[in-house]
Amino acid sequence: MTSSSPARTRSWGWIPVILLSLVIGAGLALGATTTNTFGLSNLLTFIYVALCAATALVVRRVTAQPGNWLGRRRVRRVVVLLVVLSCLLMVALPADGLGGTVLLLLLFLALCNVVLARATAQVAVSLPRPLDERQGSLRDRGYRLAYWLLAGIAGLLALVTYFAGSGARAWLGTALVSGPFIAFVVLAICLPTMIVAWIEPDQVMPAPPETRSHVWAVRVAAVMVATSLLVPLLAAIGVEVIPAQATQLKRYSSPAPKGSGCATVRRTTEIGFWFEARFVLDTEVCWNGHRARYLYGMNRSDCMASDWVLVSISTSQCVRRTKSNGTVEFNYTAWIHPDVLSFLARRLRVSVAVDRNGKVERTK
Amino acid sequence: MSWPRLLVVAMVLVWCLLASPVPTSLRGSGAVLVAFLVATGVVLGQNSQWRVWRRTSQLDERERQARDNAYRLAFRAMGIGIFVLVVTASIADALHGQTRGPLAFADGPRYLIAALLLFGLLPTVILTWPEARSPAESPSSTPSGRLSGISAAMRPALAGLLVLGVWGAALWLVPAGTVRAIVVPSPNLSMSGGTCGAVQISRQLGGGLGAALNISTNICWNGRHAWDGDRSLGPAGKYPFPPVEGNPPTCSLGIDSSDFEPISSESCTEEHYPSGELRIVAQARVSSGIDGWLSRTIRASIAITAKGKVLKGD
Repeated sequence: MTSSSPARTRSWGWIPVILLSLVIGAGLALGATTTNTFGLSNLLTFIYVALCAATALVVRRVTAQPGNWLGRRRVRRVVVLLVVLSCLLMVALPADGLGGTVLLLLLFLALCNVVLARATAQVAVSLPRPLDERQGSLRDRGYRLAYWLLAGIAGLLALVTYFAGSGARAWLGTALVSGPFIAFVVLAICLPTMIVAWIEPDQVMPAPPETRSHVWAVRVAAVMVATSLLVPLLAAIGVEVIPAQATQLKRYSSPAPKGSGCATVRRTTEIGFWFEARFVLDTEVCWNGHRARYLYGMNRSDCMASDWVLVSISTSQCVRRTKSNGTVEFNYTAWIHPDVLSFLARRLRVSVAVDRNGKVERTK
Repeated sequence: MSWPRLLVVAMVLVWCLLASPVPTSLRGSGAVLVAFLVATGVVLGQNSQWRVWRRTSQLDERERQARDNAYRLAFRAMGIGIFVLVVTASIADALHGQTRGPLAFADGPRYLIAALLLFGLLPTVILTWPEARSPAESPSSTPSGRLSGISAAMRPALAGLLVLGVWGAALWLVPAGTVRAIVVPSPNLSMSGGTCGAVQISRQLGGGLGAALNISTNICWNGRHAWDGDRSLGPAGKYPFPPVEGNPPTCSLGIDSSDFEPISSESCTEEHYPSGELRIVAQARVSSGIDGWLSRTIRASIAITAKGKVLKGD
């Protein structure tokens, strides 16, 4: 006996995935376009979001049996608890310190969701096949409980914070643009699967006929999941290991009496791929044979990156000095943290020095 | 179209009005909209025999399947509904000239109540749509539809009246709460020879679910006098004392959350004392119930000494 029409469920089930992808993609693209001019990075961000959406759709359509290990209730409950802990962590994060931690948590939650979907044989999500009576009953119970659990949590939280005073109300307002709202969206997608994984007893699923196309579909889905999870991690590691892009140095002399002159010096430094930052040091320096002096471009306000994507940058040093031999020198040192794996950090030094004769010295 | 479906359409329209950024204020009619939604929710609940609330063992297979379908759709629709509410709150905020974005969701009770109604009514509404019955088939018209001596037909009306009653009781019985914020120095105003602070006082009725009366102004002091900093200076740039007749105080009187209780007769007065103390008093009349027969005066005041000490703010 089968439960309700699977076709009906399938027609609605992917909508949240698409909506979430659009929201995340639009957010990333908006954030990226407002802070940088990296055309390639924007494109990569869109491609990545599209890959995630495609992966979610493929994974939802490929049924795979949980296997002996994921078939155990204890294992499934541990994964559910990990999801709950990640959501609580997201709620507890300060609104101004989200950044890379949220991206990392989202990747972890995506992985947990894939594991749970497999552990429950995807009974809580849309399926291209009808469910048997036991699976249908599990799925329906999961949705019923999920509805009242999520509505109860959200309603109670909103009521309590609303009446608890202006401070709590301000927290509720902030929560809607920070971690708690992301946790709500995650639960709005995963909660039925989590509940099914929690309540389903230890199971021995009858193995479906393993057709050649099904085996390939499972492999493709596995590769897509692995790619979706690994690409951001590799891009984050790339910030740490990829050598800084060839530093360019250009010099334009302006007409001046012999022994003196002015030049515009531009030094561009790029680091990382996709998760990247670009520093452009643009300065004008004049010299007279005794000493060099800057006209612009060596101030504290110049100690900043010109473009960055999915990294955070903190300045550690910003110094300008004129040496006793007349050389003017400007040093800017910054730490670059990828937004994913934000515990990684790369120290980058951008500097320029012009001596009293207008020669641009090579700095280490 | 059967009458349950018409009711569903009406509920959706009323909920959209409640959740919509336009009109920016419901001018006291919010409580009536909520009462309507609750009453129609009771009608639909009776029509569906309260299936979404009943145990699985009390339902036959067809009923169980319909209920479970409703829950699956309701779960998805709930997430979309919350997203819509946050967006509409942001739009409403922008229409008010503010830039708080989604933060506005938590500022007034309108969107909170819309969310709670969404949570409570969604499964019943979704269950009703595909299998709306005619009144003749409705089980609520059978003798079993009577409960505790109250006929089924009366229950929706009673539910609606109960909502209005609770709202009125909140207005009458719950003491008005005060939220006060003073920022010194004022980010909006500075004055040579004096110090200025931005003052905000909010008196809220019904534990935040009713109306709120706000005073928002800049107050300055120089050790000898305190004065309303937003007020235009007197002749030759002198401080505005003694207050000139016909030069009213400029404390901007904000009426918030009048979605659920209409406010009338606002006033704002300013008093100067020989000691240099300034006192600003705002008051308004909040009405509830039919034709405003339940009404209450709400008052907010603040007193500041010539040295900038806040003596009273309620």
